[in-house]
Amino acid sequence: MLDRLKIILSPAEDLIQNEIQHPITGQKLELAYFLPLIDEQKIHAFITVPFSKNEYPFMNLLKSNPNFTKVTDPATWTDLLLRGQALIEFQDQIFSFDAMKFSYTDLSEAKLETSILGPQNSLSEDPIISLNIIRNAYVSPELVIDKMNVGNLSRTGLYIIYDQRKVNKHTLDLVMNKLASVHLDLIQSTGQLERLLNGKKYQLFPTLLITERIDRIGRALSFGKVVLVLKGSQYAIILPVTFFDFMHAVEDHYESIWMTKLLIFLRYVALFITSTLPGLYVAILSYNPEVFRLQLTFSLVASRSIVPYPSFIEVIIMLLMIEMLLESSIRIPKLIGSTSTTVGGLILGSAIQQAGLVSSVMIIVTSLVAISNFVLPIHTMSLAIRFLKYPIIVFAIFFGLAGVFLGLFVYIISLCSTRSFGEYYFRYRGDVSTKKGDIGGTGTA
Amino acid sequence: MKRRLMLSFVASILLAGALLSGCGFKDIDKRYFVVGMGIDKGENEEKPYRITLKLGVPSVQIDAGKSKTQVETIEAVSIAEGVRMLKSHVDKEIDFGHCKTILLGESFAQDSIVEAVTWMSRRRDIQNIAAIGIGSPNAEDVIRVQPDVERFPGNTLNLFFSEDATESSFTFIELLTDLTRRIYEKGLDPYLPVITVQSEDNTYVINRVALLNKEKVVTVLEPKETQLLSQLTAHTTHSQFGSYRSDPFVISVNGIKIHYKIKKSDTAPKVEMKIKQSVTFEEMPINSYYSNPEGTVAQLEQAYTEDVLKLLQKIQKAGVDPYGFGLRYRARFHLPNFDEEWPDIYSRMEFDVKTKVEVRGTGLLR
Repeated sequence: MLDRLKIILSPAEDLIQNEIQHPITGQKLELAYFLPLIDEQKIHAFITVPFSKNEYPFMNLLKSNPNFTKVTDPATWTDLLLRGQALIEFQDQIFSFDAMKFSYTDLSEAKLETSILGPQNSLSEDPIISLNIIRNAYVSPELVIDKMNVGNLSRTGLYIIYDQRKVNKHTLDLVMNKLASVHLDLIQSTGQLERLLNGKKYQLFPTLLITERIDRIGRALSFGKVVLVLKGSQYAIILPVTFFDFMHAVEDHYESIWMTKLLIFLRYVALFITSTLPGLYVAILSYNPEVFRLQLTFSLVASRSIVPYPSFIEVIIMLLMIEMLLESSIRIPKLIGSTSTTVGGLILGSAIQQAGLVSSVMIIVTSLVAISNFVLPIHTMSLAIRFLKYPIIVFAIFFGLAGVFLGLFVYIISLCSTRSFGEYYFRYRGDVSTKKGDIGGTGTA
Repeated sequence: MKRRLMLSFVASILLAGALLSGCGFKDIDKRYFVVGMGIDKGENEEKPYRITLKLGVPSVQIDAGKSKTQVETIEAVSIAEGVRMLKSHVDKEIDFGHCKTILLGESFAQDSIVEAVTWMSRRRDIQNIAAIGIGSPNAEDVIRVQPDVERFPGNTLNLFFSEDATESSFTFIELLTDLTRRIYEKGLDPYLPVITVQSEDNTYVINRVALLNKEKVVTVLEPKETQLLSQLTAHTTHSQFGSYRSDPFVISVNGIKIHYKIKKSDTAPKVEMKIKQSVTFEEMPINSYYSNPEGTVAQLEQAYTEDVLKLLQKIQKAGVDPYGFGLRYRARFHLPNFDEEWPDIYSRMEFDVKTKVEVRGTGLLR
């Protein structure tokens, strides 16, 4: 049976295939199961222990216990294995044993990417539990799980998961090479791994997607992407990705189509606002006040007339404040967490305006920038976008409105030149294959 | 090495930007926004321009009548020099970015507007959507008026010339782009609205239009004629065509379509104009339409035709061409010496106007 299974199934690290021979009776037992999918306690209690004790004829046990079912058709083997059954071959007869395990109850709630209608749980720090839910979400014999250890000292277990038929072999090779070339003593989180795999040292945008959501992982696998699960981290890495994957929330597939389309549009608006608004504020206030209506101009003048410093100092004061506020609300112990937002957001905000350090319009700009930044669904991308506004402010200080768009232009060029594991980062659809000889192409040839 | 090169490149760009950024970094509260400008003829022979700038003073309170402005006047040799000298009269940078209304004095416009218009189109911060008008009796008096209920500095005049607020069939809006085009295009002459002040309550009246040849004002139309010209040029893009009167009816024009052809002829070139309009009645004696619909329509058509003919002939006699017959003629027929031949052709031109009135409703349910 085991030989045939090797032919049918893709090589999976988590497929356990055992051949046990009883030392006294000389009887042989072949056993196969997917480790993450079954409860090992049950295997021990019902199969390996009775077999080794041999107090009762094992064949009788197989035939009398209703948990064991005789399997006659080899075509059902993979299906049974994938549904959490263990296969046993004893005396040329094959039985299946139901040892199914769902690990959903062991999971913690998703914190970074919350969703209303989607699954509420994140992956687990225990990779076996993570693999369990991945296997349960993506039930396919084509799913391959490779294991390797990363980190010279830590030898942290890393599972490389992909759909054998759909994955791009070239990408897979690149990932494997890259992982083999990782030399670091300790690897403790997927974020660290992300930076190691990210390609260039000074990469502006994330080229890997870090996620904790099982539905996102399942979807990625079905598109032929590679998923990395690190032992001790409840975040998995998906690669290769495009920029537009980062703009997509899992919820987009669950809710009303028109509202979803509007929300996607809204995310791009938020992206524009959060990266350019402070720059636009400087540019409009100090270079091109004629772009808006007279009424707005006069209220801007009125609100700014008490501010002693030039507009960019005002912007920098406010942005530094909001960054500190965000940073402190992550670092602060959870018990006193709400204090910092209250103090920072409400009291400081109104006091700083009354003191005449910043104008009231600037308060609106700052909060809009902060809010629209959180509209972006993926944490790593929203962090990267959070940085983008600063270079644009510098451009705006020197070149005004033209500078803001010069900055945007630079970012778009940078996006276009980025590759995520050999695939174009800024392409809109995933199904564009590069042809051999394309300019800048990364085809396998 | 490559990185150092890159860094020095970026640094040099930023440095160049700091040095070359032209008008430069100037905060919005360090600028004075010009909300209205007037150009008049100076009294002094050596200083032919009298320039009036209305500067908006921002205030936190926004309410009717709370608008504050500061008006500065200077006489200078040229407009550019006058504006530069005015800068030494105020404490902040003068910015024309929000100057939506520029008025030319009546006597100034009777001399020549070309120099003033070229100055406007050359200046970077005067927008091409600024509206140009003629201040009567002079620009300074109109600019100096501070309407009692104005909310924002200079807003009242701006609203007259924008399509957001009032849409009157008597008010022509002439923007700087169109004015420059009309000055330089052969066969199309500029017009400018005339703004007067009602002194008793500090408000503006804009119901006449001045017709110019390429250089100066030739004639000023009466309000009734102004409205008719507005209908003919379909100047108002919205459905605001105004009305006309033919006793005992006052009808409101809801839509108007005009087609015309120019027939070339050595003796009398002819403009065949077909006007098709859809109307509703605004005033009429009860049942007078239904007793004789055909007769009423014929009466209206004839009345309108006569009015149009009279207006076209008046414009023709003045020797200006705001309608653009010359442009059409140039497009249709070969005319190498347009400048020399056209005035003669235009003065011999005959008009043949046909009006078709389509009654959309009487305004009442029966």
